[in-house]
Order: sequence, then structure tokens, then C-alpha cells
Amino acid sequence: MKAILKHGYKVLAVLIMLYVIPMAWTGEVSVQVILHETIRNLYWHVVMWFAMILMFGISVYYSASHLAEPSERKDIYALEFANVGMMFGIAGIVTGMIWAQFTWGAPWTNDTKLNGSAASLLIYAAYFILRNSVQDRVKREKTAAVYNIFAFVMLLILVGIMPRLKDSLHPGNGGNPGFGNYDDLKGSMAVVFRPAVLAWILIGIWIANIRIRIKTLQLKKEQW
Amino acid sequence: MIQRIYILLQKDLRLEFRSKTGLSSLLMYALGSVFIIYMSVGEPEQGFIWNALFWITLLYSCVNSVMRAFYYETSSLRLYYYQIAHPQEVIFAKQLYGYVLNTILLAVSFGAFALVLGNFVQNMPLFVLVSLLSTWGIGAMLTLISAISSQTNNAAGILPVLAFPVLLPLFLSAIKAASAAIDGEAFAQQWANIAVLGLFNILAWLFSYLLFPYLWRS
Amino acid sequence: MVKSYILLLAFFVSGTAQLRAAAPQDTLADLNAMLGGIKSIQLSTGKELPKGFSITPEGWVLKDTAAQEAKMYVFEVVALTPEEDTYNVAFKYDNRTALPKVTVLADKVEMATGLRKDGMIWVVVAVSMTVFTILIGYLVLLDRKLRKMERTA
Repeated sequence: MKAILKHGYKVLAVLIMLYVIPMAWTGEVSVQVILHETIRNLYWHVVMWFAMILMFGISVYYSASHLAEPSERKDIYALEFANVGMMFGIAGIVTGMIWAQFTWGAPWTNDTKLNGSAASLLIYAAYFILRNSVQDRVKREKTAAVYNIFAFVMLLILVGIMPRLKDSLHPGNGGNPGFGNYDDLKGSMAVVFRPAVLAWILIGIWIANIRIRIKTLQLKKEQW
Repeated sequence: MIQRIYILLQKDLRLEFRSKTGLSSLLMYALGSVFIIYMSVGEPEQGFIWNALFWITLLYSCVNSVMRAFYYETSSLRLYYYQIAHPQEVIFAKQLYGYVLNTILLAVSFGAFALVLGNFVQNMPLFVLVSLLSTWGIGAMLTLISAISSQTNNAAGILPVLAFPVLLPLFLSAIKAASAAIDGEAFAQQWANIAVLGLFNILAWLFSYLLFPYLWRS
Repeated sequence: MVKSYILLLAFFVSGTAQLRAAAPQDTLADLNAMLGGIKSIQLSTGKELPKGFSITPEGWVLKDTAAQEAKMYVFEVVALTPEEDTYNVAFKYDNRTALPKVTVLADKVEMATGLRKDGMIWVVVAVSMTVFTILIGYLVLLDRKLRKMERTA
């Protein structure tokens, strides 16, 4: 029973992905000018961003709880979830650049959402640099936790709120929010999209779990 | 509470104006840049060049000015502050100090630029609003970041690393709005950029209010 | 990759002979004739036709007396042909001059139907599944190694 709880989510994630991958290629998709078949990238590029936000969200939860009641375990959790979130973020930007090259004509444009997402990833990169600059353990954990909260709020603002204020090439900004425009097939894309988000979040948790265990073992070794 | 903020602010300003380094070095930097630009480029022909040069000079002056906000405080001094004032009061005083410094820098830089390199600004009220909001935003955000970086062992090195990503969107909005002011666009078209700049200010204050107490305790 | 059919029709609004006998009055354009058959027409989601315009299921774009304001009317529809081709059709009705002008732009949205869909797409599926399984296998390997280390530590 305990084994199912421990590993069940991993099996679920794999099974969902094995369903998502064929459906992503052969499923019915909304037909759009400019995008043509590349709209299938929705199942990869956008899913990466959703997973990233959730990973950073879990990380900030542990940071906030660490500020309320300090514990080394919470700090490790915050760090490793931020690591996984960073990985998803880089994947999101790279997939976005590839997608943009073929649909918009250039891998990068002077677009608010692009600049905002690059800036927030840089803010998180600075988080890791900050962690490496503080020597005292207690100070480091506390400073990192404070910065993590700051970075997450900046992420939400730069990627979520600012693009809505200004014009943007991205769908759903400077226009109506969400993928409403692509849903003229009454949900045939949502059936693949939503499980994919769940699967990638679970995969992210799995990777974070492995990293946390590695880190805990490393720290235990150092304390000997 | 306001009295304490005012007293702390006065202390910082008095220290600033008393020392020979500090404000004068920043002014020298700003004026020196103007001079070098004048020597090499002369009066720029187009507004956007003027804009770019202006923002480069302003950026470096403001960043340098706020960088030293927490730098010179030793830990024993901090313990003294800890006993006499709330952490929010300390950070607010520091931010207001940053505001004052940056406004002086802005006025001097703009004056120098306008005198020596020509005044390209067509929509003056918009330009004033944009540059004030952005220099204040830089000041407020940088005060918080310098508070965070003062915890590390290499504060001067880590500060630009932390500050650059955060200030990037602020600069984008500021430069766009300023170039619109130079071209003489109306207020209404730039409301999004102005809203962003205002947002940065508000955010910096909010973050300082909520997060600084945790930093202060160590 | 996008083939455009650009058709410019300039004509007087009142009394133009239409080739199709059953064409209603005030027809601006006949999509059926342009695209070679219409199976269904949808409006682009989130947008609606301006007041005074309507589209019949046979593919005629009609204008009634409500659209009298002198301005440029623009709207888009998505048309599906019996050959399963999707066309994104953009209409512009320019009322500002004495001679109203209708512009119709039809972009065929090419998807990977036809050649790719009969059989070859499954190769792509197989490849991506293989890559994914290898990555997951690596994760499982790491997981097992870690568990062994945790037990002996």
C-alpha cells in the first residue's frame, strides 16, 4: 500500500504521457492561419510554462514556511523545486524560440511576454548565485527564502500581469485571455492538454524528489 | 513612526552631504559622462540617441548611488538601529534617502544634458513624470536588493547580479515611455508604461514592508 | 507555404447580375463559387459579424440596409470545403467611397492531412515514445540507485 502511494504518481505520470504523445501527434486540432500544424506545440511549450509556475509555486511555499519556522529540510525542498522549475523554464523558452522561428519569423522579438519571462528566469538564476555567496548556513537559508518570495511575485507580475497591460504577439494577451480562441473544436484539444499538464507536474515532482534525496544524502555525508 | 523615519532620513542625508565622497562623486560621474559624450558625439542629431545616452548615464548614477545605502553600516551600528526603530522604519528611511539622491541626480543629469547636448524633449510633463517614476523605482528596488545583498560576503559584487534582471523590465518601460515623450506623444497612449513604472514603485515598497523584517533580524 | 487566392470584386451595390439563379438580393460575395464548394462555415471564435452582414449556409455573404455607415467593415470567417480543406476568409467592405468595394482574401490553411496522415505519422509517434521511454528509464534507474544508497547509509 505504501509502495503505491510512494510510486503511484510516477506510474500515473508515465501512463498519461504515453497517452498524450500519440494524441499530440494524431489528435484533432484547431486549424489556424499562420500556425497550421504547429499548434500541436501547445501540448509542449505551454505545458512547460504551467509546470514551471507550479514548481516555483511549491518552492515559494516551502520558502515562506521556512521563514515562519526555520528548518533545513524546508530549505532543501525550496532549493530543489526551484531547480526543477528553472529546468522547465529553460525548456519553455527554448521551445518558444523554436516555435517563434517558424511561425513569427524570428526566434526572439521585442515582445513583453518574452522579455518578462527572460527577466524572471534571470531573477531565478540570481537566486542560485545568491545562495552560493552567503557562507553562514542560517543566514543563507533566510536570505534565500526572502529572495525566493520576491522572485516568485516578480515572476507572476512579469509573465502574467505585465503582458496583459501592453500589446503582445502572444495569443491571449492584448486580446482575450486563455486558449478560448482555439477551442472551436469544443474541447478536443483540452482533452490532451490538461492531462499533459498534470503529467509534467508529476514528472517535475519526481525529479525534485530525486534531487532532494541526493542533496540530503550529500549533506549527511558532509556532517560526518 | 513618521518622526523616526524622518530622523533616520535626516541622519543619512546629513552624512551624505558632509562627506566629500558620495554625492559629489556621483555628480562628477554624471557631469563627466556628459562631457565625454559632448566631446565624442557633439550634439546628437536625433532624439533617440539623446534618449539612449541619457538613460545610460542615469542608470549608472542611480545604481551607484543606492549601492552604498547599506554598505557603510557595520554590524554594531545595525544592532543599535535594531534597538531603536522598527525594521519597516529603517527600510522606508533608506528608500526615501534613495529617492532624494536619485531626484538630485536626475535633475543634475537632465540639466547637464539639456544644456550641453540640447533639449529634445517635446512632451515635457510626460518626460518629467516618466523619469521621476523610473528613478524612484530604481531607488526603491535597489534599496531592497542592497539590503538582501548586504547579507552576503561580497555585497558589491552580488548587487549588480541581483539588480539587473529585476530592473530590466523597468528600463524597457522607462525608455519606451521617455522616447515617446521626446517624440511628443500624448499622455494617454503611454498609460501602460506609466502604470508599469508606478507598479514597480508600489511593489518595492510592499516587498520592503513585508520582507525586510526577516532580513533585519539576522 | 500558404497559398492565397486574392479576388477583387468592385461593383455597384444595386442591381448586379449574379450568375447563380437563386442568389438573394444584396449579395456581396459567393464563397461557394470562389472556393469550389462549401461544407460548412464558422465564424472565427470570439468575433462576430458586424451589424447588417450575414452569411447563408450556402456561402453567400449578404448585406442588408443596416450597414449604411460610411466606413470599412472587416470580418473573418472559417470555411470548410468538402475536400476537408480549411480556408480562412477575410472580408473587407469599404463603404467610404461612392463606389463600394468588396475585397475577399482566402487563405488555405495547410495541415498535415493527406500524405502524412496515412501511415507516416505513426513513425513520429513511435520515435517520440521511444525517446520518452528512454528518459523515464533513466529516471527509474536513478531512483533505484538512490534507494539502495539510502538503505545502506
